[in-house]
Amino acid sequence: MQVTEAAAVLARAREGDGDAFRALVERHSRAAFRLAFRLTGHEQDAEDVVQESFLRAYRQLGRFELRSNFATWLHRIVVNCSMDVLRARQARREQARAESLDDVVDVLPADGASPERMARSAEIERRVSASLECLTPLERAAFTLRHYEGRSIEEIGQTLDLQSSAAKHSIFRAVRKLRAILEPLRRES
Amino acid sequence: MTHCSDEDLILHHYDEPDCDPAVGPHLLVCAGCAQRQQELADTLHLLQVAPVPERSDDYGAEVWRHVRQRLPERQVAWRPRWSSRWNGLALAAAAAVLVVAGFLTGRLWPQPAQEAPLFQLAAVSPEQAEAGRRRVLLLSVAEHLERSDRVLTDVMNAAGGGDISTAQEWAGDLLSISRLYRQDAVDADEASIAAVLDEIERALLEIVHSPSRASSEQLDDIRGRIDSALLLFKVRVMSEELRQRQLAAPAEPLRQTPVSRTS
Repeated sequence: MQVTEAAAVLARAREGDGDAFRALVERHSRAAFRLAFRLTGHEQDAEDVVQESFLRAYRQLGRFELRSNFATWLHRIVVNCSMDVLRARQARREQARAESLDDVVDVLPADGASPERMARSAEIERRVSASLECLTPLERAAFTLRHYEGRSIEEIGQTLDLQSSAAKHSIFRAVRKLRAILEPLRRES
Repeated sequence: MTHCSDEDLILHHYDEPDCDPAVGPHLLVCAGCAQRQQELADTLHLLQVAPVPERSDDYGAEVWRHVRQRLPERQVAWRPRWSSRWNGLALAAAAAVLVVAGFLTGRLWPQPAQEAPLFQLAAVSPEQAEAGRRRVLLLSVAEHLERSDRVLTDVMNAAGGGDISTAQEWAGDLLSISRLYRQDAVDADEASIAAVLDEIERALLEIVHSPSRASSEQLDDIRGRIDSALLLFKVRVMSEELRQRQLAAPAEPLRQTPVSRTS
């Protein structure tokens, strides 16, 4: 889609043109899903986040400035929706007193465990997923945007409505926790 | 330079611009730091294994089929920041005139053959419409609570004698919106939401009417009242409750409502 065409579609969508909004949904859904999945780590949650994000976008289209980039704006909405899901999940987990950081570390095998005895790739994937669950929603969002999305710390600060220094420290905390949990796996590798 | 800190190594790994420029050359000459850098890279490399499930080319169309059934009426969901009760009444009056005019027009003019509209909400029962209105209210209040939380937190963390004019500006915007939502909550029999919004209003009002450079004592007074009312706690509990209700409520119709037409 050309820039001028995209701007025209956005302008029509803002005026309530359903076909124009549909074009935006169809164009941006896959990228939104990839981001939501990276942030939530859960397929169905990511699906819900994508739909909820477009609903929020639709409700807030009146506030969107046409000179801005829709993808960037939507990106921010997807991050916020994903963080809502992560917060809800964290609250449920805290309520249920589910796995703590220590519990996760405990399930990792001792250094001497034989890698051949498990389907290694799937096991790594499971443990990586568990390690990400140990991060707070903010740490996970900041880390995901830096590590998987390649966003700069400054951009992450803007997306999460944080000072750059706060975004940076969220990433530091995330990496520190992940290293603590994944260190045994690294040594096995 | 002395040895690299973990933070230095992380910034270097991600090639961040504010990484100390001395780190790169240091890693070339210091085996210990180079090894720590390699260990960090290896650990972070483990995180690359989880693939993102692929979505087909028509995924966007699929999302649209789900989303379009839930699109709210714009004027219900979107309240501009400058809206006031009077603006709302004026809009309501204009809408009423249009409805009456439309009704009369429909009665007096012959009806053309009906054409399927390109973009409209799916036909809904009164119960579904009520559920939709409630969902919109919950979403709007949830967003409002998040913003209120930020303003209250800003004030709780403000330094005595510091400038709180930005927080006051936000508080002023939130105040008028809060009144509207509280009335909506009362109308919708959401008494607990209305009660929290009422307490938020009082706190926002106090913030708005404080000097923009409030002294430590004045700020302590405001904080004391926010604290004694457990306001931030209530706001967060209510936010969480609304989030849970949002997550629980829309899921079923979203996944189970059959799609009658693909446009």
